Amino acid sequence: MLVFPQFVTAASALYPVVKRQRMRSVVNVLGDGTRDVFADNDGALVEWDLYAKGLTAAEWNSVESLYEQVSGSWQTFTFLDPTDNLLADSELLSSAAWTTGALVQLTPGVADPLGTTRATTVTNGGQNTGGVQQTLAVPGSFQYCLSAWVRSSAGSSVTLTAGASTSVVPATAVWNRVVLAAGAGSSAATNVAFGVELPAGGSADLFGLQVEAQLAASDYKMTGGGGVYSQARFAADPLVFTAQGTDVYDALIRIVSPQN
Amino acid sequence: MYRFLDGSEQRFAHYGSPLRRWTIRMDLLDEGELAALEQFFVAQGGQYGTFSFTDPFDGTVCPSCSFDTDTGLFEYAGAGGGGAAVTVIRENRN
Repeated sequence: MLVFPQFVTAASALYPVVKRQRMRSVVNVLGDGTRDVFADNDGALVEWDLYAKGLTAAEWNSVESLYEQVSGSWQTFTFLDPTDNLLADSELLSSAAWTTGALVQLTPGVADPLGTTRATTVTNGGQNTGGVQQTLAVPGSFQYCLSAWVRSSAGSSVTLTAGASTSVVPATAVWNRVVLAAGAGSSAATNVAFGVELPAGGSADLFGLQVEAQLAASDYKMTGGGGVYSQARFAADPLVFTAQGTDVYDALIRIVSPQN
Repeated sequence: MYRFLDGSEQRFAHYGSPLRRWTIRMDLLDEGELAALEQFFVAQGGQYGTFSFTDPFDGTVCPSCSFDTDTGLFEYAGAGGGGAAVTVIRENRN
């Protein structure tokens, strides 16, 4: 699996990250000033400028190795957007992106910790543990951080799962943001499942499920298509880096991808 | 507008209503705010979609506004350090 690497900090970018959303519209301006605008959804692109400063030789070598494997801007690789939530449909747990247990019931439209009604009550009516899960096409060798707000008036505990890593956390009657930061546990895996499970008969409110390829959770981002870009490319054939000293490398890395 | 040899002019109003344009520079955004702005831009499809915009000078809600470009630039620069600039125009659209 060709994927843009994580650095030793377990992040794949350093601040600042400049992100451009490039949509494509056709505009016809008429004589009286009115405009006809047509969208070209297939033409939308996302671009990232990664200002990589102070990379170690090992980090730079991992970027350069990927660059050589994809022959510059020729072939594609997977890029995990460092500014986004990797999960798709983060607030639509009934969508096809999610897998729910056979006897798990979802009730959307519940009050959430941000003052809106975008949370979902998850009730496990089965005799075994069950919940919601989403499998992402991401490498098992990376470090991930799964986070979610949970609340349970029934006092159910919830189990966060990220590949082979799990964490059982108690859910109280007030909203609490819970986090599982761990490796996915299988370096050869090209898919990792992330989810929240409830014990048999358990019930909890869930909101703001988020997965990031880093060590800690950042502000929650609602998603539609998610932050895993499997058709990313280097934006240009040249890849220039500057050696600032022994084991200190700087580079501006530009990546482009069709929009999810 | 027509200008005659004697310097006089005749002018005709052609637009249904005046166009307005606001350039909004936002700094010190946290990641959640910046992501919400980015998602809104994407949901609009750049300059394709229309939305209501409240004029920050007089509080007037202006319908049929849109972004003036298909490219949105969002800078993630750490906690509370995000920035973006967008231009909104009020327009007539068929």
